[in-house]
Amino acid sequence: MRTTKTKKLLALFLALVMLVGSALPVFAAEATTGTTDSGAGTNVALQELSDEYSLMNYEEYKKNKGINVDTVDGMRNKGVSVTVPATEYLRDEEYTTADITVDNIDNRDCIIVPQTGKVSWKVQVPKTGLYCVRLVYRSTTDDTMDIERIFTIDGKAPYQEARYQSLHKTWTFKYLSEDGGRTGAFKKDPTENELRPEAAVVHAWTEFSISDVDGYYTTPLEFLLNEKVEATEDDPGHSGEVILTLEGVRDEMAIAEVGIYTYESAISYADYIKGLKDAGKYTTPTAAPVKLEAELPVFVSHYTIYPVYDRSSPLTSPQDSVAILRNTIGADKWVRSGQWIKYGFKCEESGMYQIGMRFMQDTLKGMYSSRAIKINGQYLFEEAKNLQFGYKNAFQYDYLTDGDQYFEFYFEKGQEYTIEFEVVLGSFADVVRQVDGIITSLNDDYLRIMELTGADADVNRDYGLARVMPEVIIDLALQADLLYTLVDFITETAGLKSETTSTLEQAAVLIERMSEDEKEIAANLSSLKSYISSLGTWLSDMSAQFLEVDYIKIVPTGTEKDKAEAGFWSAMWFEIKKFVASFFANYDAFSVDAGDNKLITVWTSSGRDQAQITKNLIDAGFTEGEKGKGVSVNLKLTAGGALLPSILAGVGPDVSIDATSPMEMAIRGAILPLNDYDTFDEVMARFSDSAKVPLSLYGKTYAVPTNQGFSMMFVREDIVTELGLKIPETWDELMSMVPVLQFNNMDIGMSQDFAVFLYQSGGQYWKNEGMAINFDDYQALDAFEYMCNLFTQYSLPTAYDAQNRFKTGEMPVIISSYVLYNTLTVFAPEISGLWRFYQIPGTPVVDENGAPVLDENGDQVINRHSISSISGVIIPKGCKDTESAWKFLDWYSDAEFQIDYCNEMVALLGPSGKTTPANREALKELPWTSEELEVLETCLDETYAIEPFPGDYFVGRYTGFAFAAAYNQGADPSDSLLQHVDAINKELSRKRKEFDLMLNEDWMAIQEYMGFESFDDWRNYWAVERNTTPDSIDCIQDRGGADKYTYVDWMKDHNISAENFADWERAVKYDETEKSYKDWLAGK
Amino acid sequence: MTKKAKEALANGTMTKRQWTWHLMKRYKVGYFMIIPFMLLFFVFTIIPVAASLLVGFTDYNMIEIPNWVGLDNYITLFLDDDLFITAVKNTLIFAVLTGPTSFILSFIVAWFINELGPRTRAIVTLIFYAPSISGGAFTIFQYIFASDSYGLVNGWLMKFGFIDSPILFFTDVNYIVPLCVAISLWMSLGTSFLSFVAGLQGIDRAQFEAASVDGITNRWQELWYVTLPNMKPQLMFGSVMAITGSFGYGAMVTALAGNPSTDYVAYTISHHIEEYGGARMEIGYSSAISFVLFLIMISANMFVQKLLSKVGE
Repeated sequence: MRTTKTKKLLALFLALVMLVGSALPVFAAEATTGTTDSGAGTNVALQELSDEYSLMNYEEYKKNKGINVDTVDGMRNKGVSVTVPATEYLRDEEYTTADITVDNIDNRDCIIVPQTGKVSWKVQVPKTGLYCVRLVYRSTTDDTMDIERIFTIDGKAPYQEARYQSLHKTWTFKYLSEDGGRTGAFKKDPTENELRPEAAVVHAWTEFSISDVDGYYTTPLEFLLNEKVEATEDDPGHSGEVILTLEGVRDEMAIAEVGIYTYESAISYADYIKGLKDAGKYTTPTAAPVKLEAELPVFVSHYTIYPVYDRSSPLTSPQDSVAILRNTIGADKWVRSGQWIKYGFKCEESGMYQIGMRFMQDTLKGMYSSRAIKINGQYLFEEAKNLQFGYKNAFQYDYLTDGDQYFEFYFEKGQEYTIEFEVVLGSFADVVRQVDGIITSLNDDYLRIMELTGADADVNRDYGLARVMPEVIIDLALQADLLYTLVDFITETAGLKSETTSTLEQAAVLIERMSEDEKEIAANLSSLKSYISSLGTWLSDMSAQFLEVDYIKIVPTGTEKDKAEAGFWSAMWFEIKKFVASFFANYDAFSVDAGDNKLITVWTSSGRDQAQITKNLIDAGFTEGEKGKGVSVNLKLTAGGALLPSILAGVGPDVSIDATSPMEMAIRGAILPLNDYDTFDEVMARFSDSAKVPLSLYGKTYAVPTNQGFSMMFVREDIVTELGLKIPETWDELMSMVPVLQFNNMDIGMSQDFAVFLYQSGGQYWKNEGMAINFDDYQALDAFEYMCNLFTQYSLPTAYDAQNRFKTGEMPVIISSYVLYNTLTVFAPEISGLWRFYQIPGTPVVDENGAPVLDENGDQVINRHSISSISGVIIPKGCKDTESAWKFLDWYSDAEFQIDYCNEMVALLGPSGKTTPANREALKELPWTSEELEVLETCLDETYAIEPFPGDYFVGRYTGFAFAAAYNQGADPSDSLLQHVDAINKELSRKRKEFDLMLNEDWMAIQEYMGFESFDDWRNYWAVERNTTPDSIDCIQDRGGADKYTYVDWMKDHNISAENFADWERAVKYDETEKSYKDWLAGK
Repeated sequence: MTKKAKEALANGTMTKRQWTWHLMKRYKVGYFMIIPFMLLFFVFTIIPVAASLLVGFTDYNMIEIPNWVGLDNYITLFLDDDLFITAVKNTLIFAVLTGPTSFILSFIVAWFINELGPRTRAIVTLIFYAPSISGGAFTIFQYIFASDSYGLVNGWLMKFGFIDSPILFFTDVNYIVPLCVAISLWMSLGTSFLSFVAGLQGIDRAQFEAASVDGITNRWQELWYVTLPNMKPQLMFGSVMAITGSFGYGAMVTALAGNPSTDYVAYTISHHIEEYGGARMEIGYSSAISFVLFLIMISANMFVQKLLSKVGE
């Protein structure tokens, strides 16, 4: 009896466990099946999009053209090249649209090509074969960004990798030492810490070959070009001419010549040595080593590769236990393929040398970091393209090696050599590229499956995937196979540890299982997505080639290696010295010894990294620069909430960088208006018109904009094109996508902000300059109802995790702040290139009669403005030196600082550090592509901002209530919003009373009494009556003038009051009087 | 010496004040030892309470010099502030629902736990006490009751077909109050619970034997006549904690449902204080509210003390 009971209980328990267990992984709604609807209309833009996506990649191109390891040598015509002077560009408008100037720079005839437009050349191909494309270019502007171009042959990019080209500039640093040596090279701050040197562009003619911008291919890209062949019956023939075109994306450039040439690999290392031996040059010199401090490069490819510091090792040269010395270069700033650093040196004796390097590579665990070395711009031998720097959690000293052998180089006595280290993906380029391809394929497969099953596939359901989409399952098997091959390659061929491959292996196992048993697919769909994601992370980790270099030493062959790390005792002694020094030295890098300078205190509540960067830029750019000459800045990191109390207590700063809700402070008189500074208009001209609005109150501006955010529409183009939808331009178009998307288990992400609908339809938020809310207006009610319907009728989700759903493809369209861009680039590397952002959809503009407004082409005008949010810098009341503070504001909001700051943040945090400057000039210079920039600029131009008025915090609260009622209780949206209008107005009046502003009740009485149309009438009337200018007054009572005569006094004198106005209204309502308010009052 | 002093007091040669001073000198070590606490208590409790009483009679707004407005703030509060009335109503609802319930719950759970063996007792105590030591533990309910269709509860309800679109638990007026009450009960097994556990441990076993000799027949009688009277100090402490807890209810609601919650359904007096003191910077007015809350708490305490004095009678 007892046993059966126990058994029963056990069985029950097991049953429960199974029930719960089977349901655990799935939380969301059961998915419904759907098939792809491809019948929807297409348009031209869509066609372009799919063209771009369908562009084949280099691998496919090679396969297509029959290029492989065996044939490639036969297809190259050794030594054949053609060069065309750039000045002989095609004048025909079909080929060249750019506004070109012919010039001569440094004795070279060249053309200057502006940022936009195309320029083309015609090249005659001498012999059919594989060719690389080269050009000789030169930067012409000091812009911090790389030059970018789109490359096409005969009007079409032959394959994806060739399309987008990025051309580096050459940068140098200004060192202060007279002989160019290490001592005194860097400027020091008052505490003897060395500061970052100033960077400058060096315009120089540079050789460039069309190559893969990601560095997945280490050799220049090759194209199969045909020589002239007369047409025959079965051959259309070739003209033998190709049109090479460069289309501007970013920055102006000068081009001297373009051409095609045949790729030739460098000789092997063995041949190099043999050649030297044959020439009798293989001798061992006895000269002293030449030591190059890595922190003093001659040239770098990006100004963000600047000298940094290491304080961990006593052997780093130079090192100091107290002061911070700039003693290394590289680290996380020198990791992207193509970035290079150049040094120069001379040897005292001819002969064979080895190049030693003291470096740190503690990031790519179980892997090596790769570099290529060029001597005098040449690869001396093929192996020089693949130098390896192994992993160790400390500094290492080693001679240059490719993992198999140490290299020796021949240097001539007294000759000037340049030595260039370039980041390459080395032997890993292939692996990384293939993983990139695998991710793309898996993403496609995932989407295909998801279209059928939804993101939460039902485990127990038979979807018949093998029948519906066999190709997907075959592809999964293929990708699993590929992954296994890669794993083998990494562990066996490259001889690396398994930790590098574990991500690939796990993914391979899962994908293989899914491809073998279709039942596994539904069960593992979400795991598949997360594995794709971790492959993406793996890819971006592997593409970052970390290397921090202390010094480079050119030593005669056979010299003993330097010691890489200090011994235990000397390391210990160094640590003790540092520890002791920390009690005396001032490491608070933010404070400053002003000396004779003026000193202002600036508060920021950002993070420490941000503050550090700001501080560095202030020292170099403000205190030393033109704008703030002689003004030192004491930057303090404070908690955000400390500002207002400290201002009130009179111990506030002179400037606050990121003050929250400046209007709350302005209305209380805690911050100063800025309108009266001479350069005010000049400074404000840097921003879009709307940026000023939230920072101004009654005609005075209280802050200078810094960051401006607005909404954008993020679109997963792969999904949208697959479904045959088009990118929507109006809200109605967007909503018409909903049925198709929901049919495919997808949704659209929207926020519950209805102001955008209100403003787009030309509505107003406020009445009478913030005296009352305008939500009882039909436009506001319509807008609110439209917003509510999105959630109630279209049942869009109200709460969702935007980046996750966008990544998985459940939400292919999301309206979100453009900061989402940053998140996506870091969080979802695996979908990069599959999505884009657009301006948000708009509302068709209509005139007063409701007729559509058309533009000059007869198209409907659509208002696509978005609502922006703006933060600003302020000068608090009690600032001791307002002139210097204003100078700081001017400098801080200027493009130069904003650009530097953003670039520094990106260098520090990666793409997620990208800021959102309000400065229009700065936005242009940030690392956007021209396409993105174009959208962003339009967006920035087309923004509204909601004016701040006292009591405005109440509005959001009550619209929230109204939405909750409409969504949860099914109330009528307009009704529920109208219900709250009185409460909002009451609060507004309450707040206005507190700040002595004219109340709505009073205004209505005055308006009726005087018969005014608008508030401006009153302004003008008041200005005439009180003998002042309309601008100088607002509705603030105590600004009535020197005599303090306010509108309240005026109302008393005229016997008007809100009370008797209400009486009159009542009297009119109940037909007790037909007199006007004025007459009625007079009669009383 | 003390003897002499006592005599002096008795025969009137020493005043009461002198006697006190005499005792203070005598026990100076003790006074010396409570100085740190008294200092902090004075600076951070006594002065603020007194200050809020004073500031409550002014229109202080953090910027301008305060004006004395007499009882204006209190008049507005009771006669012209609908929101305050809502807040009082909600606070009372929360207090009545959570205060006594949590108090009784704490005691009952402690009483049950007391019956367990020492090791199990330690573990079970930890399990019950854990939510209240990990201060922000309630935020877990934000995830459990998330409005997202991937939220735990919404996901399950949708999976089993009870609903077809997610419920916005913390913005829907029908769910906010019940959820907040339930969560606060879960959180409420705090210090008072711990003191009950300790108090139950401290009861002399001999008393139970004596009671059974005296004719106690069941556990309820044992509870009423022995356990509870022995635990009066802990019960007192627990009640104070429960009252301050239930009247000062606010932070949790703000974290879960936002401040204010939809249609002010879970808007309490402490929210009202926050709103006026924090958002609107009307310190004078918010001080007046605080003082009213203070008075409510004091009277609730006195009421409970009266009740507790009846225990065991």
